[in-house]
Amino acid sequence: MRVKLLLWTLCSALLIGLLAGCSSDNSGSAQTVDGKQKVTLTYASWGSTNEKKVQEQIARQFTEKYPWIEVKYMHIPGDYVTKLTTMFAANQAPDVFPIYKAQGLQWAEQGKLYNLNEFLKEDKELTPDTLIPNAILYWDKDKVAGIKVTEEAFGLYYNADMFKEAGLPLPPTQAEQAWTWDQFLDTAKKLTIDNNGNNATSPAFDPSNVKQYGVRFDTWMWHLMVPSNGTSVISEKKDKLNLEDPQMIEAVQKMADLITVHHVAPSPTQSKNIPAPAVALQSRKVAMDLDGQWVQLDLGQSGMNYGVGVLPKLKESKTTLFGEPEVISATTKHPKEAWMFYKFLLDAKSGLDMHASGLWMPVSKEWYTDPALIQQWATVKPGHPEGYTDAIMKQTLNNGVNSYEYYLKNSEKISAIINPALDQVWLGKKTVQQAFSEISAKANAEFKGTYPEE
Amino acid sequence: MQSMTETAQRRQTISKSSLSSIRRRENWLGWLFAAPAILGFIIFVFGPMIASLWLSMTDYKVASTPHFVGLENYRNLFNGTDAFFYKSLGVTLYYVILSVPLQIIVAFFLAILLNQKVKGLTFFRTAFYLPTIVPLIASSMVWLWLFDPDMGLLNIIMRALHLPESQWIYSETTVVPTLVLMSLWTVGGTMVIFLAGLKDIPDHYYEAIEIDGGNALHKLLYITIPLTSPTIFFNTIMGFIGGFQVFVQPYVMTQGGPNNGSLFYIFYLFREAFTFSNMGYACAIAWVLFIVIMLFTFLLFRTSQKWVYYEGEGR
Repeated sequence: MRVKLLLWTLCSALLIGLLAGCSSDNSGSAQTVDGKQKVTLTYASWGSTNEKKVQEQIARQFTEKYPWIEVKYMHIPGDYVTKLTTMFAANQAPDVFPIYKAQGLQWAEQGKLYNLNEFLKEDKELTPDTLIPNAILYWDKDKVAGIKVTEEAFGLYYNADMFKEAGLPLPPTQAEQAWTWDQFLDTAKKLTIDNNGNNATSPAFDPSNVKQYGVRFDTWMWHLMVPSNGTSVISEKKDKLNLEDPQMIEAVQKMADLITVHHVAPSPTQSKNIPAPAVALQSRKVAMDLDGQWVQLDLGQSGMNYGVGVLPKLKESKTTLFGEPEVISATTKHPKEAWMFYKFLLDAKSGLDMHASGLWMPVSKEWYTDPALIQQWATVKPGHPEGYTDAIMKQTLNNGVNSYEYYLKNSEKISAIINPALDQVWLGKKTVQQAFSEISAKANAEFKGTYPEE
Repeated sequence: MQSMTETAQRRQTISKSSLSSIRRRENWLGWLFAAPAILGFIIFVFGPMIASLWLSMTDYKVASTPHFVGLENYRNLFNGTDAFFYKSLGVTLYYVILSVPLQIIVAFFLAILLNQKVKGLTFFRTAFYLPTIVPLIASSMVWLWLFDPDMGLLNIIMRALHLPESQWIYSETTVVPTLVLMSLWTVGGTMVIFLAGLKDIPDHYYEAIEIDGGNALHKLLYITIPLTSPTIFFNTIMGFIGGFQVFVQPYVMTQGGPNNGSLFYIFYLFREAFTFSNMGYACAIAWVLFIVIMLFTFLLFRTSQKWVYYEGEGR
């Protein structure tokens, strides 16, 4: 009998444990701190271990300032969107988190995110005017999905020693002096060297045995030069994709030609053998890198002699902006406190280490205009090379164009059609025009309109 | 005398009633002990299945309220609105049809080899089984290096042997055969099941063939294959089910590329669910796969009567 009782107890204990495991923690405590009701927020983000440390520090500082608000930080280093989707499905979404632009806009449309315009309209400190242009993500008129938590901008990074040894002029840092595409291509050719020591301008150049490439870029940035050619991935009337637009085709073809015609850039397959951009520059596998400013963190830590210039131009000097938004989930129980923490996150003072390291760029305008603030991040070495304030900071403010994903609805699905088609282009099997015309109908069938710019 | 029979009768009735109460209690205990498995199935398998069947008929996008849309998700799948459905189905079928027979042949061949009485047998068995224990993500990373067209070991060997080089997983046409090749590395599990099947064949059958003057080929054709046919059958079904559910390789190695050449069905499903957050639609995709796998299994079972031999069936 005793054995049976024991078994019965064991079974019920297991069952209760099972059920308890399924139910969520609802221990709503009525604690008070400083006469205010205690509030707990959850904040999730991706990022390296370094970023994790800074995020934890920001959360701690916030609680020091507002003792009744505790921020639980959750670090999600991989499978970020999968994890968040699951948390949303379980009704346990974090209160505040950064998200990739395309998902953020889509999720806002689906009602998953808080409309931040409710705060922006009334807040006295954080208003659209205090932000740099292009920082707010609207998913409908007066509906804000999020604000970029840091800005990201593209530039032309290079190994300065390699230029010096080749006796070539450094890439210009001022928009007015930006290289034309031909100047850029010519430099890239001179810096592309095969195993026999011939550079790509020589008739004896052997493209199948390249030791050092003039330039590298990620093929997911296929649209990098599109704004510079005076056009956009979305048609001017905003009624379809610009896949037949000659300007757009030309801008993408110029990138492809770097790989397939001029052999000055590694193909996606060849890139697999080349280390991460910063190491590639340092180890002289490549001389120039068309990349986002986040690469500065690694470049700075490598201790190499690097520099940055503005991107080459086709018609006008532009840079593509790419920062990801910070959002508040619609299911948050404490919107007011979440907004307080949100503002704290966006304040460049909170994560100043990360801004000074070169990884992040502030989104408040004053950090771009006030010399006292600029010197706290944009001139701090080694994360910011000489010329950074012109080539990246000023360029972001004056000639920055948001990447098309900020405005294109259903852009994830459309990318899933465009990117495979471009695979053929990087292999040199098709021209951009051929690839685009083949998928144009399919991609435009998924075109579901655009998000407003403000 | 009479009283004795009475007591005996009474005793009998008592024992009868207590017997049935024991049986009842045992019955109850049986259910209790089976409860974790049954509850587990209901809570973690059957419940979610019913939920996903219902979600597959909604426009559920995670955290939004699902609206019933009837069979629209299924219609969109089959009428060609979705640019990827037939492509992914084709890629997966191609992989299954290529990989399952090859895996069976290789595993069977290895099992026969490892069933011989040679020196160092334990070592060989361990060596051939070992890759199965390596997590698929880790082995995918290793194969990624091997398949590299410029610096990968495979092309270096091809170059040294003056054989044509391949782009392996980096070309639309070779990506699926390459992944099939990679899958042959992990046939250890199938091989072990074959080995168990081979061990079951009594030696005297082979001796009989030897006495009748048969050779090794006869042994294989008339003894080994017929007697392992249930094992072959089992492994084929498991191979089909596994082949339809390939996910890690495209997720880690190719992201479905190049040009959707390795857009495996489950990867496509995952992308719909977690990248595009079309959860309802993804549920419909999952149900279509469920039906496809069920159909394949059903067909295999139907054909099995013709070629699978069970001992004691007297055929």
